[in-house]
Amino acid sequence: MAESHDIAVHAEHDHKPHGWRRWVFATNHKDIGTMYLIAAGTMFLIGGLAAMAIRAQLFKSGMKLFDPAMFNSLTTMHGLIMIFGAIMPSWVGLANWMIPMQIGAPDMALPRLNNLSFWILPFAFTLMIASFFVPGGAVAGGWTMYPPLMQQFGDSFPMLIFAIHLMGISSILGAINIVVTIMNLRAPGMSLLRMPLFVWTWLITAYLLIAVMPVLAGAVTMQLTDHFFGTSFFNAAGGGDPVLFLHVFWFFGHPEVYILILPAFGVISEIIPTFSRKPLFGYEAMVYATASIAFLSFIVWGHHMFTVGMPVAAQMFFMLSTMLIAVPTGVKVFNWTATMWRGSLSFEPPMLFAIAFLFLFSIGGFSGLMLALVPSDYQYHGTYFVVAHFHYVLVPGAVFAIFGAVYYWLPKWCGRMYDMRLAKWHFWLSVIFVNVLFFPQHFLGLAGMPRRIPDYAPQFTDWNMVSSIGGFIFGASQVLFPYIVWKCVRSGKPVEANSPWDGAHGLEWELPSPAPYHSWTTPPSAAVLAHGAEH
Amino acid sequence: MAPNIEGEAPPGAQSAGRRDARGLTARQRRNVRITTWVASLIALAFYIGFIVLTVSRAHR
Repeated sequence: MAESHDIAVHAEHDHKPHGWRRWVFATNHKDIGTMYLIAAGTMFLIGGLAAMAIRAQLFKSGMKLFDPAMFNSLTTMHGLIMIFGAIMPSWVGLANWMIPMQIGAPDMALPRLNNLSFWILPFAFTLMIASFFVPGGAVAGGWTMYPPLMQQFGDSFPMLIFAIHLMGISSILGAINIVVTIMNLRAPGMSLLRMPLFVWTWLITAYLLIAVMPVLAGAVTMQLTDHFFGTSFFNAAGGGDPVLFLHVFWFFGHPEVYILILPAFGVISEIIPTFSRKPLFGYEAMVYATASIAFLSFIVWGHHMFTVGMPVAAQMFFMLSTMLIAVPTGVKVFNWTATMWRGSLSFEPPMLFAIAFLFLFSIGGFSGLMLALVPSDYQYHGTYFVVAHFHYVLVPGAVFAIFGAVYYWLPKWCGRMYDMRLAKWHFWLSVIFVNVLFFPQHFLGLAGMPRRIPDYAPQFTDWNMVSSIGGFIFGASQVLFPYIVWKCVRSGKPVEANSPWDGAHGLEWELPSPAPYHSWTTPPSAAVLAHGAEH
Repeated sequence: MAPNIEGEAPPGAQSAGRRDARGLTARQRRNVRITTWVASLIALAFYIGFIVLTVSRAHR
């Protein structure tokens, strides 16, 4: 009780700057987390509008809403915006909010670096989106930026590369901050194997970021020098090799997939035990499975380029190493299921999104296994089957986990409860129409519809119409989310207990709601830590 | 060492002692510096390493 009293006293003496200075010079992890989430939400909206435009163009065969170059710009920028502008900053925002509260730290270890990491982003996003408006339009060679196609764009090419450098610097600085915070600022008694799973998955994600974002930066720098300074890294005429870019890019690209999804595993591992009212089944196995997935992610890049022409031995290696990832991922899915087994389940919005994640992410995982098989991949490569696969992993996977995380922790952030009924509407509309949107794309891909085309043969029309209708309703239903959050912050019913969820455990739920501006200014005591673990 | 549920503070965890305005001990500040340098050097090594690797593979 003494500790709760201390925390409450701190809450009354919160000193926070006011006006624009609070945000521009922000060093508080909660303020920076909020800014990350708002920026990511804005980019979700812009990337989502691009998606709606893509689905409108593909509504039926022969549509002429956009010229082909503009359509290709839309698909390219949709991918880049969603990956670098929406999902990654969402996870960094959640990390900023939650990691210090979950490990009992007063803030991130490097608060000014944290400010810099965030404030780089608006400039990077502006530069990237502004490339739509330069002569020749935005780059249109796909988010993978393969040469020599990428070299053929005008001013938008260096703008995109500079934007990627900025976003990469921001990610690396953010990742260093997270590693340093977790390694050095944990509460006394919180050994590594006592950390919440969200913290664990973020620690591993941060290491992935530190290792692979510089590789992407190197790859795009070499493209830049090939284009402007006469080098021939990827220029066959000068003795270089364009396929080398694919190797370097995918050495970054596959771990990037896990950068987007590992924090989601952490969130799901927080939500499912809470709403099952049981401890997580196999905590240590979850930690080791996460580490195994991260390690394997470095040795599977070749599965993105089976059709490029590589030795059979290399194909076998990449096929088998990719299939091996199913083992630790299966451990996770089984452990989440075992956690729910005979639990006292309730179905509040975070749990609904977590259960949908479990089923729908698994669909994405299974189609990934199909793509890992070399002979099958020769058929599926470059088709809508691949589009269906990675959208199942990233939308009902990563994005649903982000929704689940916000619905789980929002009452802690603002001390108010959101409108449950509206949040359930948001869930049901999302879960139904995400399947209407993406499931038919499996059929289209298997029937041979190529990806990245602005028009298609008439036999693909029916499922494209279904997919587009699903997309429009899914897109429109996402407007509910910012409304629910805004309504909650403005006029939600105050949450009186530290935790609105009776099954929640962890240090963040030992803090009052809303969490004080400065939390854990003194490290939590052994008693608080033990209480948080039991709770 | 601060007491905890196991009776000892594990490596890396916050320890008791004089704290600065941010709540960090001298040992923590030193460890923050070391970890920051190590993480930064890993990032730099991957950046330079992959460019060198590409040069060596591209022009064989």
